[in-house]
Amino acid sequence: MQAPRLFRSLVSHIALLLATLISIPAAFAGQTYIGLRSGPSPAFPVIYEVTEYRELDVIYRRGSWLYVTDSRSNGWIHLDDLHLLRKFPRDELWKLTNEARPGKSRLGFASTTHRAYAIELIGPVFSQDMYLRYTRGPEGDTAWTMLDVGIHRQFAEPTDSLAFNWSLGAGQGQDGAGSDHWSLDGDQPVWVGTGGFEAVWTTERYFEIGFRGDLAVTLDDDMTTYTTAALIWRMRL
Amino acid sequence: MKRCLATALLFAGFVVSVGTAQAEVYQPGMQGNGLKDLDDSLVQHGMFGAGFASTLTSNNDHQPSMVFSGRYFAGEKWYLLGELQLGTFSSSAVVVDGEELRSESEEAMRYTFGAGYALMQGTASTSGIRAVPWVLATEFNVGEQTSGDTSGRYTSLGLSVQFQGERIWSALGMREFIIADERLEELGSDRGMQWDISLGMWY
Repeated sequence: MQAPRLFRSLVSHIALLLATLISIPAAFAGQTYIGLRSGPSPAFPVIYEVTEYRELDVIYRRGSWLYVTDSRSNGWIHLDDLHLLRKFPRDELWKLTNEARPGKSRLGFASTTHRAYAIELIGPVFSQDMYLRYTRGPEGDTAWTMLDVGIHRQFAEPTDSLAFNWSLGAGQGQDGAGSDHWSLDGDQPVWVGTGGFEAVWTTERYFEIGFRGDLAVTLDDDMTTYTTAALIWRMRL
Repeated sequence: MKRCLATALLFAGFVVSVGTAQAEVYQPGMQGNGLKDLDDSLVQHGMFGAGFASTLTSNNDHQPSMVFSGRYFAGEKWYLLGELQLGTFSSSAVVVDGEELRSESEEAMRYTFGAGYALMQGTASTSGIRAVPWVLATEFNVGEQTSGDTSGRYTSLGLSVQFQGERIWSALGMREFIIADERLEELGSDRGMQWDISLGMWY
């Protein structure tokens, strides 16, 4: 009679021990820690950790980062880590992600081989990307200017961060008192036709760097022609 | 009398102990969860600042100036940069063959646009309690500088160390520059270096 009782007792103890061994790691694995960084970039170190059950006050937002506090310490958290918080509504996350997404308009700056620089604005007009560009070079009495407007369109996107575009436009060019860039007889501006191809690399969500080759032709009898290469920096607004 | 005193002491001890015991009772509150004050939070777009700069062009003396700058965050590491610098360009005249190439007190004005890229980012702390993020960035600027009666294309490349506090930031910068101005080329003063210190706020 003693042997079966002893066996049952042994089995029940082993079962209890196994259940404990299984439940302990599961209980520890259930706790999630979210790292808060000292600055808004993964390059900054994690300086504080909060559990998924904490309530965090949002102090600032910058791009895809939130500067939060749990009233003990502060730090930056990325939007991608917000789903780790136990109670964070999906609609809030979508709203934040949407607000951090860059717009379709771009503000650009270019430095060209003719010692000129250009400022440009690209944006959708009736669902077609248009550009407005002001070019000036080089300086003082020998300065010349051009203001042109046209179509800007992407024709290839080999990778997510690389795009090829073409542009076609028209505008007016003018020479300064000591400049003969457009070979003008007087002070009157001349109509100029422009076209170009560019390769643009999206370095970050809001920022693009590129290289553009341009052709500008005066629409007069002389048809003065210029080809230029330019380095471009663009920011998505 | 003794019994009365002992009773009073016991009663006083009981009152004190009950009060202490009640204060030590754990009273859990409702713990919130998620994010709070999301709609009231400020959005940081960039930072603006003002500072002092000391410029040394070749064949010239150190010249002080004021620098006003604005930075717009284009991502986690890139930012766009605009600067306006006002100051003096010379404190002594240069006369060559009877022609005054540079007058005694020329003013200089520069406006530039460019970009900055954070090469390194980290955290500084002196006390071990507060952590201040710092950024070492390289900055490229292109624009125009007017000095005296002439002007020319200004191009610079430099480094900037920025300490980013919660409400204010400070920066220490150093750059080398070239100015495409024929008069300054003739003077041999078309290049140089500059250091600057700035203080600013977020916007």
